[in-house]
Amino acid sequence: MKIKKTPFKLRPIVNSERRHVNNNRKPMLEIQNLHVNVEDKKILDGLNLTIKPGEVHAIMGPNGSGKSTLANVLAGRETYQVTHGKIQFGGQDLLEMSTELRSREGVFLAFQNPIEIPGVNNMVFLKAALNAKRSHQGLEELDAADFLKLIRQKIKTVKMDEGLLHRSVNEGFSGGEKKRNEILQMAILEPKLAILDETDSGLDVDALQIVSEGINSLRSPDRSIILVTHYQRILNYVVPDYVHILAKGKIIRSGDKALALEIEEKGYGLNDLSQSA
Amino acid sequence: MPEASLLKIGFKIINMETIETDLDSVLKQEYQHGFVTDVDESFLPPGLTEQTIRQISAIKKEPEFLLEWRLKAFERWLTLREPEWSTIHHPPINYQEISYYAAPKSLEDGPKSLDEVDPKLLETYEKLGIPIEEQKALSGIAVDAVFDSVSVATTFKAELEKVGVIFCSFSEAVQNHPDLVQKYLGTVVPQTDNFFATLNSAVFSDGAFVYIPKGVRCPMELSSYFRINATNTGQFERTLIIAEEGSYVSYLEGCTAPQRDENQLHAAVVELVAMEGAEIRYSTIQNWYPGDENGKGGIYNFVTKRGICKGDNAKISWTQVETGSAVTWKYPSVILKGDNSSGEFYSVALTNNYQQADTGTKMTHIGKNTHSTIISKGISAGHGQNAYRGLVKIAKNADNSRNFSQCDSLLMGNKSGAHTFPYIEVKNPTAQVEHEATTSKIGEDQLFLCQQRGISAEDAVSLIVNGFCKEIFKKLPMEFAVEARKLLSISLEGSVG
Amino acid sequence: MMTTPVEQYVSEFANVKANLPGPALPWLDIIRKQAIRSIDRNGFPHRRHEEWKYTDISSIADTFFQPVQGTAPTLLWKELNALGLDFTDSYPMIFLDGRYTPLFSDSLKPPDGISIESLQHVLTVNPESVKKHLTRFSETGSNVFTDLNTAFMNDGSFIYLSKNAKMTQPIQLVFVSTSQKEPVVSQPRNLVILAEGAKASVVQRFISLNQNSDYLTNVVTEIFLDQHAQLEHLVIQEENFSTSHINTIRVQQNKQSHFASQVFTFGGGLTRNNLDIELNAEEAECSLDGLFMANGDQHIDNHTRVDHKKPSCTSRELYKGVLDSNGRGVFNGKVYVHPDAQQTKAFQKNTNLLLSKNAEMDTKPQLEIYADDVSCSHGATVGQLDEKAVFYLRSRGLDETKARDLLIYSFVEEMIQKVRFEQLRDQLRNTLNVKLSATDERKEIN
Repeated sequence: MKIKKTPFKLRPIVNSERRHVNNNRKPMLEIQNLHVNVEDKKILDGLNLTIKPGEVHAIMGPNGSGKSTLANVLAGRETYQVTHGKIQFGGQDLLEMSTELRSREGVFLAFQNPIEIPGVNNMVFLKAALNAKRSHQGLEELDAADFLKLIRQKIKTVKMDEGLLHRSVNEGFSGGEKKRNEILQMAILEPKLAILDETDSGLDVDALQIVSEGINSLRSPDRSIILVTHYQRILNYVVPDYVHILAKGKIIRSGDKALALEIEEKGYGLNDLSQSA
Repeated sequence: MPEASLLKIGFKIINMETIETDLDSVLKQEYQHGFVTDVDESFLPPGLTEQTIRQISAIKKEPEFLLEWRLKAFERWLTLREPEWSTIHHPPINYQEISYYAAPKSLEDGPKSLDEVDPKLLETYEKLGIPIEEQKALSGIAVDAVFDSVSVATTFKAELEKVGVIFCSFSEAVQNHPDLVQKYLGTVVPQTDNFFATLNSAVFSDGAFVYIPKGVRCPMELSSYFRINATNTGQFERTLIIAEEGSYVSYLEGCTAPQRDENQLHAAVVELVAMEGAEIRYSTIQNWYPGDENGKGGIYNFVTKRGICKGDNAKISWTQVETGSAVTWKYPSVILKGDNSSGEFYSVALTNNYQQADTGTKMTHIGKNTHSTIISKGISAGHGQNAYRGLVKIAKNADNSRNFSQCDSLLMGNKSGAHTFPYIEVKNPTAQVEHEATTSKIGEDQLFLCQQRGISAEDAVSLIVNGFCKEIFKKLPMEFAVEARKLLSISLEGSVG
Repeated sequence: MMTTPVEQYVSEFANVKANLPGPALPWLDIIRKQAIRSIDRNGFPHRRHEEWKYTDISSIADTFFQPVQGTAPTLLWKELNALGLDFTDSYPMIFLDGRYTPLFSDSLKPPDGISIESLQHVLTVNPESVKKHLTRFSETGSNVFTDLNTAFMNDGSFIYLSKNAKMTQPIQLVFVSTSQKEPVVSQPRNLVILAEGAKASVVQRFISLNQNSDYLTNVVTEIFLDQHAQLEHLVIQEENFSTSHINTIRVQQNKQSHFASQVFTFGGGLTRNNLDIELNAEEAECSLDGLFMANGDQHIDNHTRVDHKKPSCTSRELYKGVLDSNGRGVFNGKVYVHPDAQQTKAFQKNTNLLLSKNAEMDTKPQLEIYADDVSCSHGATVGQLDEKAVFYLRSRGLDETKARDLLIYSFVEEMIQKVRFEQLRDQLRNTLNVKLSATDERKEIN
């Protein structure tokens, strides 16, 4: 694999981007002393993290540091065993909630490797998901016509080809199309907390820009975002309020985006912040 | 979401978009069509003797040839034993405890129009979501509804008569077109074919008859409903469809049955004859009562369906969605006799709780350049057992014949079973036969994705299973596809722990 | 009244039982008697029997084949050499009509912890060493041919590898039939036991000394692999076209053991290969490979069954068939996944070339699955050589026969490549060439 360093290219934080953050608000997500095993192997080892509404947190770390584990635990994947710790989401005990309940309450995971479901039409899938959430909220389900209107409006934000809506979920999609499809789902489900698990991986610069614009358009004072990433690259486009470094199952450092730059220059101790060509 | 929309197994014109997005997941715990109307019925007492057959024939005022034919079948049947080679297990059937004829009393003279139909019957259809009047108005589909054994209503006859299509009950055909019946009856499924077909040949009560004259494209899809509604009454339909040279017909068959505890025997025979260049499409949704979650009750469904592509370039296509019955035993088959003829079999079979299905097809290639396609999707949940059993036979002179078979099984629940038994017999060195089969569990990660997007586990399963079956649903007429999806969701209830 | 062959076997058994090896062993006596009773009761199967649907064995059922008894006559070196066998880098055992002939006994001795003996010898001097396993994997009544072998069991091989013993050279069991014209049945019985961690390769070869003799080979092999044991097992059958050949192999596998089978069938008029594997403990693995080529009036039937009884086992199967002239091929492969066997992986494939108007192939791959967390697939194809490829080769100057042979060769070479021993690969290729040219000659004559 060819590895090359990217030159530092961070643009200054625009105040308007921070306008959502209001530090006086109650936390949306509070993770306390989280311990997680996968097949009896310890992956997260006492992780703490607090996120307030409107904040964007980037979680960086080398391979195997537990980034994806954190993302999956938040979404409620059963293969991950929480052995200790608490997660509060909007004042509720997240760990007590089923996967689908978390989703309906506003937790959204954009998958690192979006899963293919052969034969299941993308639109059918999106409509089912949206209406599950709407009926949970006591809203009327959208009929086909209204849903179509909504999806046509949202699809523009990710510049996705409408043809993909009529194909099976992620089946035969390119890497970029899959990631855009994830962001489209996020746009439609309008979560409170979006966890983007290496959404930047495998994207070329153009695709990264489109996906980032999609994410930025979804920033709002009521929506928090966790950006799980291996590379600093996406943070050039989606500027975080906080950056955390995860290593050996713990957050070892936190700071603002300057930390990401520092990591890019110095590395995690591994030659890890370079990006593949 | 009102229940009525699920109950309605209707033929509304539904646009494609609605189908694509129709994901209404109102799931009911009880069998949808589980109720019994009390209709005063006249029926023969249980038991099967030569006398029974003479009685049936006499009640139906049948010509001599048919009585003889029945008696010959009965004589043969007495020498046969129930087949044991399938994976199906069920308590022994006592054929002497079954009543072989039942007719709604008020209809003995035969209705001339819907006005004459017993209002209680119409009410039953209403409950089942088949408002005949509405169908006439909405769908333009001719309906030949079979209530138990006697045909009670036939519509759109006039329109069909204009182009010379005969679509009537089997009994009517016997009276009005005895020559056609005599010419074709038993030519595809001989009396001697198998235990259940022979039984049917002896005691069949009624069914449908279709004749499409040369060069005629049947102007509407033909539909027939089969229901069982009388305690301990076996139902033995017989359907015969003849498509003359260059004609086309699409026939839809759908079944639901009221809920009850006793097992009921259902042994139908369907014969299709396609002459040169003719095409017959036969679609079935089978939703007989499957028994309860403990395997109690349910219909025993032993069906013999076979078509023959008699002339060159003929085509027969079977599509079936089998979600009902405690036991399903059926192998809709095609004899590809004419050169360049083709046969298709598209099947979804779902078994949940203690349901058992042993289903598949036989494609017999006799003519040259004959083609067959088999796509079978089996879903096993609960304690359900699902077997695909198929035969592809390439005879010695069937040069350049082709077959492609794909059989996929989806397993849900560690008490379920999925079995694949393809038989391939090739006697011609220019033939190409390909069979592929896979068996796998429903994907954990797919379930997780759906749940992460807020879809409940049960809905997610239904969604994924519907995706798994999509290829088959595409082959169904549109309104049937909608119904099939709903049936699948309903049938899967309780399968997710 | 004429006596039936079954009755003849029963009376023959009464006549010879005192002379069979181990007459004083009560356990063996019981087994033999059960077996002959079972033959008497069940007789030979009819084609109505699902397991024999495509194979008519009336020619065997209607003939009484005299069971070969006693010890082997000496084989002349000249005759053996004429067979062109190559024992380089291998440990050979020669059997004449199923009876061991100690041809190399002076020069060969297996390494420590390994014993390779004649079964007759073991039954005479040390029967306790086989008591636990012999016939224990072959319950009576399940297969009349196995019962026939058990009743008249006379000789064969006993191969035992103790814990962690490794045999690097292949053990070559060569079964030579010396029969002239008289209908005899030779019934070698083999028992292969690999203790924990042991590793070996066993080759069974079947050869006819005379080209037109009409006899029956009815061989039974029982194999037990303990934990981590690894066995490669080859069968190469090149008997003449007027013989009948029934080869039954039953394998029991313990935890993490590995069994690799390769069955090559070139000879025999009527051949039936039964290969039954039981994966009895976690993470056992087996791979079954087969190649069969039928021409003339040959009929070759391969029956395999893999029983996944415990979780996390893997089976993989590939059988290839080439059917020419009036040749008939049958493949019947069953994968049975028992309710406990979660995380089973099973793959099965049968591909066939049908090359002549009078050839026939019947194939029946089957999956029977009673566990849900499995990944199983099977496939079967029947087709012919790619005519475009034939044309391409002809356009490059090959005549049609050569072109076709080349394509057939490339179809079967995949199976030969799987054989790990070079000397065996070479011999297989020779056999293949002889077989192809024989077919070609016949075509030219016709």
